[in-house]
Amino acid sequence: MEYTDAILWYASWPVLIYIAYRFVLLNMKHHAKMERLEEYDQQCGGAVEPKACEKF
Amino acid sequence: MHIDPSLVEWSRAQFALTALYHWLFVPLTLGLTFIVAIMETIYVKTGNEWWKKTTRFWMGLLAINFAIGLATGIIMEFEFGTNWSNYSWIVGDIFGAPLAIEGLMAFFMESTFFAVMFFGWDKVSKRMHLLSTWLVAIGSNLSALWILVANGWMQHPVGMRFNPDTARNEMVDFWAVLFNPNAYSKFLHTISGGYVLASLFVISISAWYLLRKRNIQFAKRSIMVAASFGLIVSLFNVTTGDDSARHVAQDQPMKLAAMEGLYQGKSGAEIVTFGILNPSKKVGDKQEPFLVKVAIPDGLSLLSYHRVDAYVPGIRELVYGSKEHGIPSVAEKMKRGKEAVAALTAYKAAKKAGDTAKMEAAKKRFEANSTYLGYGYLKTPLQAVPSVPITFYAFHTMVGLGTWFVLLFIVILYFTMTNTLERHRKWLWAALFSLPLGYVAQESGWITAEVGRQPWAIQDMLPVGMATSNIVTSPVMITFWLFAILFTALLIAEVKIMTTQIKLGPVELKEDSHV
Repeated sequence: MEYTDAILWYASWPVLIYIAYRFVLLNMKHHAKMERLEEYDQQCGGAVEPKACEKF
Repeated sequence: MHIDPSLVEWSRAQFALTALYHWLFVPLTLGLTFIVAIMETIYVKTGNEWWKKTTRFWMGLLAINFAIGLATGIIMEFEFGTNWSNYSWIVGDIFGAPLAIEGLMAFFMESTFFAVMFFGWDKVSKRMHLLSTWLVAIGSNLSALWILVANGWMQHPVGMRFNPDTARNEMVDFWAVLFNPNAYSKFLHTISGGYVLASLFVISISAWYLLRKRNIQFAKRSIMVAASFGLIVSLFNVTTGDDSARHVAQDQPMKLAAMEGLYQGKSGAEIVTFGILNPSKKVGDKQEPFLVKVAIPDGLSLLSYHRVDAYVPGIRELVYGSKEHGIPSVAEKMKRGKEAVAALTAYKAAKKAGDTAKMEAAKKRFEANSTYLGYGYLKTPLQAVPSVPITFYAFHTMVGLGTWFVLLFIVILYFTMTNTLERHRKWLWAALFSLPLGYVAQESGWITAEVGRQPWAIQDMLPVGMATSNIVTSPVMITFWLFAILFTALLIAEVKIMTTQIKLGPVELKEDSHV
């Protein structure tokens, strides 16, 4: 019997998990940037002490 | 053999009850283990304690779910022996193998490493703990693999031969069973459905925190992980659903016809995206099958056979046959099935008498008709038709909700990545209420698969009426109610423990730690 289709489909399972994991990491980087920007906006958006914004 | 019809109905009801309850817990375990493993990987990669605490919170909810899922699963396996002993006798040599592998390999792997994952946080190294978490995720999914290989075989029996001496089916090709198209498509569609549910679970609980304006950073980050994971797996779920439907079209055309309410076969068959069935419609009459419907022309032919002009047989052709399309009627199959049953009886009698010539003749007669053996036990041709309303509505509920989940993941992920999620409270409410819908979709999927296969326990081979144990009805009836009470109590316990944990929340998290 021909099992190529079945083997390829089964192999797609770990590939799916890997792609999903990489996609999470990619979005996490962007999300972390958004969080920093939000924090920057909250702390440095107005006229504040320059020192308070150094960590950004 | 005379089997009391009420025994069959009670046995079916008990197994359905157990399976439906079991399936409330399993898909969440299948998906949440991977989400937790991904969160823990982020913790190990970044060294950020914030992710460790987040992982531990979701892991706590996973543990509650895991324990209760286990209890219902064990009961199900015992039911094969108590209520379905004829089934176990006839196909146990094949069905038993994947179940044994599941028990020995996957289940023990999952359970062993679960202990390390849950209790070993400060007892083993970070990497060992991470490895344990991944092995729990892989192990629980491998458990599902073997169960679904067994179930796939029930939908499309391959890799076996019937032994007339023992009246049992014996496995002759393990690889054919493992690589059965129905097995891999069912496995991938089922586990990816579980991943979708787990993503909804994390998003929904996190949405509740956002609506309550508490644990904001925890909720947003959890949603980011779950929506990213959910979007990828939901798209995969659609792909595997398409593949699964194509195998149903080839191996279980009656199920496909019931899923689509297709009474009259045609080339270029339409797919019904929404419809209300005509309740007075009967097979073979002239009434319209739908009171209302919205359909896509040629859609069913395209999805089932990847050709717009492909012929898709309807229930009428499958019951009454179609010479034009080479489809034998159920009545013809029943005739040949009864020939096979008679030949098998003659074979046994000849064997008892020691008449080898008669044995050979009976065996030849049996082999010529054995493809339709199961039909020999049907009483009327219409018995071969599953419940069309249940199969149709369950299938369309599953597909409709699956489409909604893809849209939900896209929207929620977009709002998360643009940091505007808190402003879109309607979508947060939608996410919250999508969790029960996730469970509805899961159960609908199983109802489609199992009700659509009726009247067969093993497709075309063993009707459910012949698969039960030869026992009196009352113990099955009593245990049905006992299980109903027990499972409901377990479900209430799970919901109560989970809601208590969710209300407590990830209290130790400080909302200031960058990734």
